[in-house]
Amino acid sequence: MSGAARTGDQPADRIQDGIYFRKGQTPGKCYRLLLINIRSGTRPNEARAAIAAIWTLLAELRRGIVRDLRPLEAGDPEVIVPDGGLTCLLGFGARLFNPSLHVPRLVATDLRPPELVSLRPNGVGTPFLNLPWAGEEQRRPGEADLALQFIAETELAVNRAVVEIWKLIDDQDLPLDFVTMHAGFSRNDRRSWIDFHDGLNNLESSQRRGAIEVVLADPAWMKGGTYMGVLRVSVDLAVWRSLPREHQEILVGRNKLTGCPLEEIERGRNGELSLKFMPGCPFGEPLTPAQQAAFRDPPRPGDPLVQLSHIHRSNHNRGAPDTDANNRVFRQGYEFLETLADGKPCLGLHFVSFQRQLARLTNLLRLNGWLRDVNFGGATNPRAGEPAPIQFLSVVAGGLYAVPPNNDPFPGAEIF
Amino acid sequence: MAKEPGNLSDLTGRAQQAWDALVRNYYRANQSEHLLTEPDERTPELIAVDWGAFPARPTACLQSTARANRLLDWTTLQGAIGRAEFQDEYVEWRTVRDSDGKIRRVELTTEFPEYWLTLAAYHPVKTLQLVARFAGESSVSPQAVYGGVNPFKRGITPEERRAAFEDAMLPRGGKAPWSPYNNGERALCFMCQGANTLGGLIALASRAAFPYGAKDPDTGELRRLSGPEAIATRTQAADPCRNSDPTVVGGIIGLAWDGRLFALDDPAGVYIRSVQYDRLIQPDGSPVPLEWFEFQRGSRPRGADQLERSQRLVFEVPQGLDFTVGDLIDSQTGQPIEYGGQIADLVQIVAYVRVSERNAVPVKPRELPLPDVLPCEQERFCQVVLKKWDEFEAAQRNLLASTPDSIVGRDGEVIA
Ligand code: HEM
Repeated sequence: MSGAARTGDQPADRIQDGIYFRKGQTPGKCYRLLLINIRSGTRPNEARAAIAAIWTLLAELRRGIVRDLRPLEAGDPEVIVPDGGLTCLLGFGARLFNPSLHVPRLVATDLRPPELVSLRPNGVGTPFLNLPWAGEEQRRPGEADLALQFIAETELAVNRAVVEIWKLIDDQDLPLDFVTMHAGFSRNDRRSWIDFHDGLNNLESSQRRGAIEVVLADPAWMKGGTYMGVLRVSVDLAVWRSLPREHQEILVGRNKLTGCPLEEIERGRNGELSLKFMPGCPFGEPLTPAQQAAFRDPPRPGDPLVQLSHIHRSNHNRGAPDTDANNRVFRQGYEFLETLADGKPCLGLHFVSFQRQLARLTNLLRLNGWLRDVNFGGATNPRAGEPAPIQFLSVVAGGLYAVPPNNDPFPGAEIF
Repeated sequence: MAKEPGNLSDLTGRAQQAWDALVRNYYRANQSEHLLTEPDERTPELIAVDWGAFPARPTACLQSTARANRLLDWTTLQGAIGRAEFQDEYVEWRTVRDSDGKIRRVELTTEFPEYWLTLAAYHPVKTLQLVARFAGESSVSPQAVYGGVNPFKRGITPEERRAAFEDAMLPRGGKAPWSPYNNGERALCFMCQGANTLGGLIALASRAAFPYGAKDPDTGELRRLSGPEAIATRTQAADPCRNSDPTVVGGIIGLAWDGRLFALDDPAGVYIRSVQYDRLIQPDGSPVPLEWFEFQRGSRPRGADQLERSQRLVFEVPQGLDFTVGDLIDSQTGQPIEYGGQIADLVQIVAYVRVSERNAVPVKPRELPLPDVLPCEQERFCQVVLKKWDEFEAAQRNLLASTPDSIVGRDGEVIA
């Protein structure tokens, strides 16, 4: 299905801030995802008022206004704190629409977008066949009624947003409970914990809106919004680092140092592999925009093993982002590092993607030939010398969220 | 000699020759130096182009998957209208319901009408046996399959049989096929929607097999056209906004752009690549096993040939269990299975292409002005979809459901 018109005559979008898809935007360095539940027994108008109060508070914070520093008396100075470029985004989880968890009912059940469901909590193939949940001791909640995403240039700005919300709930006795908070940071080396460049190939800015903006009125309140998928993926670095560099490169599909796409793997007489990268790399050379694009978004490879790498499994057809069959998503993930467990750092990728249909993300992880068959990349039945299937990713927390278009007093207010 | 789709071996002798001639004939119009009539030693590698079986257009036009599901399953006494009109992703299905309307079985097929016409022209016995098998009947009346014509009449020519079979088993005048053995009432044998033909697929590939490009407005450089863009230039034998056409067109242009030679794999066909079986949840909460889906009418991955080439998929709950397909839940939407389209939504369709290495032939880009791609809901075909939807809704209001036990001829006479 093809999406919105391509060029300038498009109406302005209503997509919330916090998704850095517009040309020239770069996401801030610091990330928080605050998950909040609405207490059972809350009436829709109370929930609406509580969310509106939070949204107003956040609007003020973005202007540097902190509630406790507001002038109270004549002569008090107006205090404006550095806002850190804070952006805020509000999402609704499947739980909000669940009448058994909200008595009286908060939102009509038929307003739930069809694909907005809880990820299955346990059992074989959960949440995805080869991307399993992490062990109990590592697992964290990922789903809630409300998700608030904060992104800013400073740790202070994102942390302050969380603390100010807590203060507001406390002061006004709002019927809201914090569930958990997930943190992340961006790397200015543009690499991930597995040392490879990450985010090299994200959608072109001109293609992003078509990939993320909801075009269906299914339900109507989501038209013009987007859907967010969050998967906090733990990376077992010990397993990854046990692989030789060539094997890592085969699994990713790029050169570890330069990010240059792998094009072909030649096999020697004794089965030894020799990796051929696309000629014309590395990055940083004075390349034409078309060459740059070719390295970022390489052509479909013919080599069967290269086809099975992470970058080609996750962009199998290498086709247009506005065609749903290509399952293109706009990634905006952050890295994380948490307390040491068993003497090992607990780290990984807080994968976040925005897409106009959640099926684009779940298809990536559920389709054969895409990421379904493997934990990250590579062949399921490797030949001699090829990397054996590895298992080093697991999901610590995950959730799917509806991110409605901007509205007053807050995005999605009309459903309460 | 062109192989039979799915590596089947139903055709012998003159039928085989007729099939080979038909396939070759389809390539007559090919003017691309990139597209070969059949794979050879220059095209050793394989690329899979895949897309989802659930039709994209009705959803885009009706702005709702739920409505699209209802329209796609629309069945009247004249047969499966939704299928004949809108199941246009090179796959069609039949939804078999119990007397209470609950789904008992869903059958999907990617078999081409041209293949069945060849089979019916030369092998009437085999044809009737196959039809009987698909209908779950011990035998079928030849008249119900060949209309008023006796396919065993002395002196009857293959052309006459073919014409009679076509008249009975393929749609006429925009209606579902007359014969209950391909209009879904008693069976689904092969595809009947006008776009779902091998000729259509080959035309799609041969018209796309050029390095079409346009100047990118951002960079000023020539870049390859995406599938939706190429279709918008009106150079293609393809429809916009389907899953299949833009994906295949985009993929094929990409191959030409990379200077590859390529050919549709032999046997040429459209196959059922995979099914997301574990999305379905049984009443006890456990996922449905893959074994409940029966892959038919094509070779399965085996030995050195690991490609899935099934053309028919039959899904039902095994006997002995006290529930049916209609009691299952799709965990991706949380909804019970009420429409065949929900099973189609689990299915991935694939076309295999054999390719040479890059730059095997010099690339001579065909530059076109970059077109505007209309949003799907503004495409002209949406008027047809919306009109049918109105008819559907009116018909639902007037519905007097009853399914005849006997097969009634065009003039109302009982013939079987
Ligand atoms: C949660 C599941 C994941 C999904 C759905 C996913 C999806 C993607 C996608 C769509 C791409 C772009 C491919 C392209 O268009 O060329 C990509 C690239 C990449 N991903 Fe993932 N990924 C996942 C998890 C991870 C994890 C956990 C890591 C690292 C620990 C990772 C590392 C990379 C790297 C290094 C690249 C190549 C750089 C680039 O092309 O941007 N991915 N991934």
